Amino acid sequence: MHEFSIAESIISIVQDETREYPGRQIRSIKLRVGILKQIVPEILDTAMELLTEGTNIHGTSIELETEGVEVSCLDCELREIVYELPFACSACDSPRIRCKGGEEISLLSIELDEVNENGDSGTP
Amino acid sequence: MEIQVLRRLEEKNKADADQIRALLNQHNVKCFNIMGSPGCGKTALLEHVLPPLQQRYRCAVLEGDLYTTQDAERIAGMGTTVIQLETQGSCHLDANLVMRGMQELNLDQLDIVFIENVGNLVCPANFDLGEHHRITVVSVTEGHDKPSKYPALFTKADIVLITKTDLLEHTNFDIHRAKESIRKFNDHAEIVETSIRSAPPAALVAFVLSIVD
Ligand SMILES: Nc1nc2c(ncn2[C@@H]2O[C@H](COP(=O)(O)OP(=O)(O)OP(=O)(O)O)[C@@H](O)[C@H]2O)c(=O)[nH]1
Ligand SMILES: [Mg+2]
Ligand SMILES: [Zn+2]
Repeated sequence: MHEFSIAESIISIVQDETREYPGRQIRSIKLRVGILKQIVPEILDTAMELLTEGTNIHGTSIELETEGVEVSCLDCELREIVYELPFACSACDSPRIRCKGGEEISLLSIELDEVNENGDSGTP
Repeated sequence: MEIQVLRRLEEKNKADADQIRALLNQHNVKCFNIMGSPGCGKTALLEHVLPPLQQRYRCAVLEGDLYTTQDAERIAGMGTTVIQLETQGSCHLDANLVMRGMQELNLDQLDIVFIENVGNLVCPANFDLGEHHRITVVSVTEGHDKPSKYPALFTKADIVLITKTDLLEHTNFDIHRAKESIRKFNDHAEIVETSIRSAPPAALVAFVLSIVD
């Protein structure tokens, strides 16, 4: 259930980054998530829904871009990036593989309305 | 309009963790974060490694627990300073909570702090607690596929303990396959087999000593 603390981090970064645009509805938030984070998108959505109640972030859509894992096989030449947890080499089926990456989670961008709820840009 | 951000979500926790490490370094204290699923034997390991370590070093334990103080009582019963970190239902410790625990300790009077994380195979991996080293525990009753299914807890481990090996004959746990799975995600950690019944965790004591000596 680390989705809830991830949601808290998202909210705090979004609030920080959109400080200059008070009252504007946040439309979508783009994240890059490593597969080792084992995030369940539905739980993240629920967490965002619950934690943003009554704010301009409520109702935003979360877009996830997946960061894969770099696999190299010790028994053949295969090097590839996979987007599901690897159990064995996809070429020779050897379990002797080495995996790198897929461990980070970053907020890439935020999409927000051009105007705030009063219909103006909200900027001084 | 779109705002480009590119910020890591862990940045706040990481900053808190770096502060903890700085505080520990200032006091010359080494810190170990023990992680693993519920019941894998984290507290049992502590009960076995504390007595030999305490012959030469001053140790304290930060006990992460959802609601109860049972583990803390087991450790306190051994005369070790223990601070309870109650996560109030959250499935992991974070650096902020650990910092509060560290502030309750008299770091001048300590050499080693162990943090027993909340029993969980996924979430604790995401939170740097300011530790110097990570100890990951997996017991043979969990199945040898667990390192493949939950790799995050293993990638940054410095030592992995496969515990409860006295129960091996009652399970289908394949030690070789478990080690192979751990190696997929971590090619540097020492991997050792232990049992509090038949093979006390001397390797863990040796590992800790190799850091603090
Ligand atoms: N047979 C056997 N039992 C063990 C071993 N290590 C731990 N146990 C038992 O496993 C149970 C759980 O051990 P704990 O030390 O409480 O596990 P834990 O990881 O601290 O559990 P939580 O903190 O609740 O996540 C206890 O009944 C221990 O006695 C072992 O090496 N062999
Ligand atoms: Mg315990
Ligand atoms: Zn191969």
